[in-house]
Amino acid sequence: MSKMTPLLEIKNLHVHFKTYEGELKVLNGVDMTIGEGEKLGLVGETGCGKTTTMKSVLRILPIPPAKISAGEIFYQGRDILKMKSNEVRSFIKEGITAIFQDPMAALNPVFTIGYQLQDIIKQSLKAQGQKRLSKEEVRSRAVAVLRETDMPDPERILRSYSIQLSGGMRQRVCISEALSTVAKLLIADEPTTNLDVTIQDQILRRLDKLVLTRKTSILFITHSLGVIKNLMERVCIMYAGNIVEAATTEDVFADPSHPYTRALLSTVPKLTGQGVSEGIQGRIPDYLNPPEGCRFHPRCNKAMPICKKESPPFFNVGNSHKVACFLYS
Amino acid sequence: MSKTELLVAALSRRRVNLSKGWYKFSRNPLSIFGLITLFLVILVAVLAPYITPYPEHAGAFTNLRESSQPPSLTHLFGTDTLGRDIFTRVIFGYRFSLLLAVVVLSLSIPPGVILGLIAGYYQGRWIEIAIMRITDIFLAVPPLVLALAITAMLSPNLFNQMMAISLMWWPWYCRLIYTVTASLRHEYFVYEGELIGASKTHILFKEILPNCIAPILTKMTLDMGFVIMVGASLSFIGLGVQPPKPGLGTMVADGAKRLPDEWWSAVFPAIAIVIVILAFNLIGDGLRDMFSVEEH
Amino acid sequence: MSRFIVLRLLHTIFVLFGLSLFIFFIARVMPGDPARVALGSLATEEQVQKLTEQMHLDKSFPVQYYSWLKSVLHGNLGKSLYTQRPVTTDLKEYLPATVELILFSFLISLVIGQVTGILAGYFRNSWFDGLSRLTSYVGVAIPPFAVAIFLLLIFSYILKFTPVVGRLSLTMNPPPQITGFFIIDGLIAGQLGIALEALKHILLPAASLAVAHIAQEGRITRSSIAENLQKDYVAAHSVYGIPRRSIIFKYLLKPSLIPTVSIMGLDFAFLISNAFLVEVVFMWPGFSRYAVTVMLNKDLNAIVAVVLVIGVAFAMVNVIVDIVIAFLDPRIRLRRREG
Repeated sequence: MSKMTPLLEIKNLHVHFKTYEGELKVLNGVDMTIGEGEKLGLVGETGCGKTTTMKSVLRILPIPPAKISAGEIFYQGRDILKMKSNEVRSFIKEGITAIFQDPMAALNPVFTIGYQLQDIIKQSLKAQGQKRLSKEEVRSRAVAVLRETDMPDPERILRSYSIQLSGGMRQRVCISEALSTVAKLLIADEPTTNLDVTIQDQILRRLDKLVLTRKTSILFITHSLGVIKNLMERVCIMYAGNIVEAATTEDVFADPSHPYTRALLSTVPKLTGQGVSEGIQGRIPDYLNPPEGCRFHPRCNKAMPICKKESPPFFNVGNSHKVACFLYS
Repeated sequence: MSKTELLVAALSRRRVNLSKGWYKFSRNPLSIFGLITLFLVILVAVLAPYITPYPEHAGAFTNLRESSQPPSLTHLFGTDTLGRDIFTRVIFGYRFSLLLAVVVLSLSIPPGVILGLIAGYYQGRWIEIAIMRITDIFLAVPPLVLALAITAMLSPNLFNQMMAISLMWWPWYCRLIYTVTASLRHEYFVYEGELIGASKTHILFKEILPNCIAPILTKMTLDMGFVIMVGASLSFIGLGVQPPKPGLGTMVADGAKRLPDEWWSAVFPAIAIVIVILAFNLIGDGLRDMFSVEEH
Repeated sequence: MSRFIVLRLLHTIFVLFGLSLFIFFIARVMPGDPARVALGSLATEEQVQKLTEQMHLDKSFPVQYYSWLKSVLHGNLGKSLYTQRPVTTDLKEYLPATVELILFSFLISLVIGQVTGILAGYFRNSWFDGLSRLTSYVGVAIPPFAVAIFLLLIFSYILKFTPVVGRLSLTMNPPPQITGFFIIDGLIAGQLGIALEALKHILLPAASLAVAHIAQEGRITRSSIAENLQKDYVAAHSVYGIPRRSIIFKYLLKPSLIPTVSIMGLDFAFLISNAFLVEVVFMWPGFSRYAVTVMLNKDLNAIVAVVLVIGVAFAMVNVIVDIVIAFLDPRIRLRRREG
């Protein structure tokens, strides 16, 4: 990989949530980089902070009760956390786009699909400085982008409301919306989790194809390792608010270094061999009183005394393969 | 986990829910304020004969030498044209208001709830249609109007007022419970009850009704204030508590005739009404917050 | 959609029918002899008997109801014993005043209530929000007659800003009757002075009526906007590049107004009942004051007519509200179509 400025760089991000029970210290120093045109997967259990990270990058965190207590997020070299909201809006609007987990919630229920999609296209054109297109031209662009996601009968879809579409179609609409902007980075937050298995595959293939043709970077958030294996170049494994391992997909599967990664891989049921494994012992930590030091140490069978006291930094274990574990110091 | 452990866990969860509920309620300072205010109002109303300076003024009493006095140290809220201490009369007036609220709701909630349960359960059958159409008729006109009409046509006094308002009030609860019951009708726990042969009474009262407690409690609290408002409005027009009894609405009507010179005869009873209604509203809002499901 | 309207209308007719039966029943069943009350205590036995026959009071209930129903369907609502005129004449005279009042108050509550609600919801937890929430709590708790009295005290007596009673000061003549709305008629007829005077007279009563609604509807708008601000699609719109102004005034406003509009129907009922009190305080010569008077005087025909008019008005408003909501919220439209 060349040493260009990475497209997105998250440094030591700490995010806390204030609730009735106390303060949830969800993100505990997240470090992540995505280069231009890179396809990065972010894998972790439900509740490990993946969506919070995404929302922080997109700056759509609900600020009370959430709070960014430390850290920096650099997009194209500039710290977007330090920008004022209207600056950010113009800066990242045409740079980062996203696909959300729940397509029903991401679409405004009282407007037609066409209304929303065409509005997005219009705004995108305006932001690029192109001269205003006529209504028909915007409409045909909308039809075109829907066709890109293999939507049947795009004209009818434009006239419909989100409630009239199936889950898969809604997600495809959201993908179309995301692709209507000229984005350098696409963040996809578990885009297939709420869909039928049969649709999942189709959506993933489409995403792959689209990303290839447009040369966008993609940050793919999921809890499923299988998806990552086939589609992403690099992987970050996340646990309880920290990135614990970052490597190429090959390396992660061939040489999983962090005990958590190893445990994750072993839970994937194998059809040959000894059958279903036992799963990982213990539970994800309580964010109210997270463990001191390495947050994984209560569940780690290789925990050492230092793990209970200090949070491990990244150690290199191979070519662009980092692990946050004292085993490799 | 053994059965005992499960039971203990369930019980402690309930305790936690209650304390969490109270926490939610108490987190809202306005609701606590409402609760304290209401408590004070009830206390004062109950102890009225003992704590008011001139308890004998709360009825037919005349002392023309002291008539129409502005507020002073001897008469906190001033006196009316017959020389009666308004402060005392306001405190006694609270008794009527609270009595009205309690009686009306006690009379209207049980039949409303029962009818609503039946109608919601027997959806599509003739009994549901009958009950709901009758409810619709009552709801076609604002409660004040019908209560006004009925009270006017009978002889105007507190008792008739209570009857008229109660008659107007049960349909609201019927409709509320109907909606809840109808939505729960097809839930699994109802089907299970039917399958094992539980009696309809059991299903309605032991299964469905507990789910209605939250909305009933909230509405009931808010309604207390609202009934007092309707009652005061009726008294204001002359159809409620009759003079010389110190109904709050009646006193405002009386004082209104003598604006602006003797403003105290109208203003203080009016403020008293606002205070008690406000208290109920604040508590009701707090209850609503307490029962609402938080998204996270 | 039209099927929906037809069904609603049928339902409404049925309800009104039942309502008329109900109120008729109560009116006839109540104690006291209406004929005697109408004629006064000095009437002779013969006069009472004659009036009783005239009013069919000696016939059985179904017969009475039937004859009443027949005349209603011919547009005859009977004669008011109190005013000694046909009830329809009374209605024609008093209804416009109340309608003008209600419309004006609706306008006030719409402008003030919705604007504050939207601002409060958008600037959630700001000082403005806190202040408006506090005032709305109090606003909902004040009975309308108390509002009327407070406003009267402050504006008419202390500040001497607005007049005290009636639609116009006693020295003025009302403008030529076109709509029955003094303000509009005054403007149309070019009598600006009268129109202005009418405006001054309508301010306080309309404001008294509006207070409770501003408080109630403003609160709902506020919480609706605050809630929808948190929704995913607002974040999504922002991510996909829609400018903030557009998000607020288009994409947020429309779904947020839906809960407010749905309670407007119910609120209208309270508007009607509050009008009763406000008209009494301000001596506004309107329909509601007429209603109170005829009820106090046990004027049968008028009472029944009045209750029916209110029922019809309320039902109409509900149908309109339902249509507006179906228009605003496609989810309701579509669910109904798909059964």
